[in-house]
Amino acid sequence: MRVVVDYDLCEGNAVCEAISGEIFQVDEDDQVRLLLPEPGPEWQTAVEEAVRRCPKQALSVED
Amino acid sequence: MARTAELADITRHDTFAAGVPHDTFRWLRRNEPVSWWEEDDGSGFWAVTRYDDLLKVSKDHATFTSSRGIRLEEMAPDELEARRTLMEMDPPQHTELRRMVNRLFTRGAVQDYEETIRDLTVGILDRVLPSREFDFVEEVARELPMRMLGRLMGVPDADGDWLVRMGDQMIGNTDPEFTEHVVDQTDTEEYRLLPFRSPAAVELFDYANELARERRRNLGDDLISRMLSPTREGRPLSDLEFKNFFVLMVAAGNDTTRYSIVHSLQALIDHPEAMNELREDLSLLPTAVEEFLRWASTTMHFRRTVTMDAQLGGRQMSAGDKVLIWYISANYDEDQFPDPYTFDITRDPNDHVTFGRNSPHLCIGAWLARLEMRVVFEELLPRIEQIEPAGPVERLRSNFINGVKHMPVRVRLARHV
Repeated sequence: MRVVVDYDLCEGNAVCEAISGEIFQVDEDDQVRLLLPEPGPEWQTAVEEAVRRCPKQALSVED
Repeated sequence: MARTAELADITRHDTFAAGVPHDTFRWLRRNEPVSWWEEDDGSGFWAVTRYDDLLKVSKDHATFTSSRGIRLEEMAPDELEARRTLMEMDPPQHTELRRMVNRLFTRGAVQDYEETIRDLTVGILDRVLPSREFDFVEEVARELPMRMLGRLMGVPDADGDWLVRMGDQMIGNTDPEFTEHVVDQTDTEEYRLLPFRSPAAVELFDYANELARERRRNLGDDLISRMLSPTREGRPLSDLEFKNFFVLMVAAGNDTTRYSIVHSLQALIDHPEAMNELREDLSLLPTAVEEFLRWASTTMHFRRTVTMDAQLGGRQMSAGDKVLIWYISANYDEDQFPDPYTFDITRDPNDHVTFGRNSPHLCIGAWLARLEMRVVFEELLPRIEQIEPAGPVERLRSNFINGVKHMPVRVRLARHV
């Protein structure tokens, strides 16, 4: 699973970081950085929740 | 389905002047989550009242476009063009404009305004609290967002009051206290090509022209300068685009935060145990603010227009249909929020839709509004021992904005301050 960020949309609301700080980190410039760009299946629930709850719909997942 | 309940007429502004018809929305969510409403002018709209359905509409800008308008009012094509802002755009056009200013409103950027906001708040409270009895809307809630808007735009503080009165005339264009040109009661044909069909826009356009002329000589990093600089695609805004953008910021930048602050205080007056908890532990405020926002749902709906035949909530929609997504209803959806009519300052998670969750149009001022709300109560609560109504509240005549025009209160000051 590969996490994809649309940087035209991301405005650093950090909802994803609150869900999983292991995968997502919002930097000083208010853009998310992926600490684990290709998280294993054990992260699936967290990633799905982040994708669903991102207020700007900036996250998606590719298989 | 036959509507068996006594439903309030959500097409009418007067309905909301008396109060939000929560019973009607609750009935609709349960029995007819997507419902058709006819308007006096012969048109009509779909009312989307459930949380999940609202998110579907919010996300899917290809099927539910903003480009035909975001308010109920139907605009002729020339009106729509003349008045278009980024709110009446879909991606990618919307993205291009939003990117010009969004860096000033991110969570990180907004943190830098905290000191300014606190100074402004303390000044406002120190001036008004000694009088013990005052209109909380006029004297407190209206003042802070207005002054902060002035700072963001880099205009003199003295202009703030005028800007906000103009903003109120536009957003309050359905209420006779705010404008002589009530849009559904008087002939506003003369102003049809102006934002909100409002004569206030003429004056704001002049102000914007003057501001642009002066600021172009000395571009900085403020909101106005950014609007005057080319987009990332290298395109400068036209004069009209700039003026509409400016008017949007004036209109959107003050009354919604004002009313959210007012609803927050009302909720705390109605729930004294919550007020006491917060007073004793101000660190509960960030979580409480999210509940204030859910409870207030200050922007009650936005409109989208269906671009192709679509199904939602078991109803068949046709291209061209108007759709209203009712945030005020989704924020009380029992399937999303346990005990939605319980005011719970510790509610978490609290994925309210007050700022337009999951939409490209997510409120650009969301972090600023949150911060202003937190700081107001951080400074207000320790200064007062008690606050109570000193007269009836007066609501805005609007089914669009959940507004309170006047809220007389009486305070007893805390001794230690």
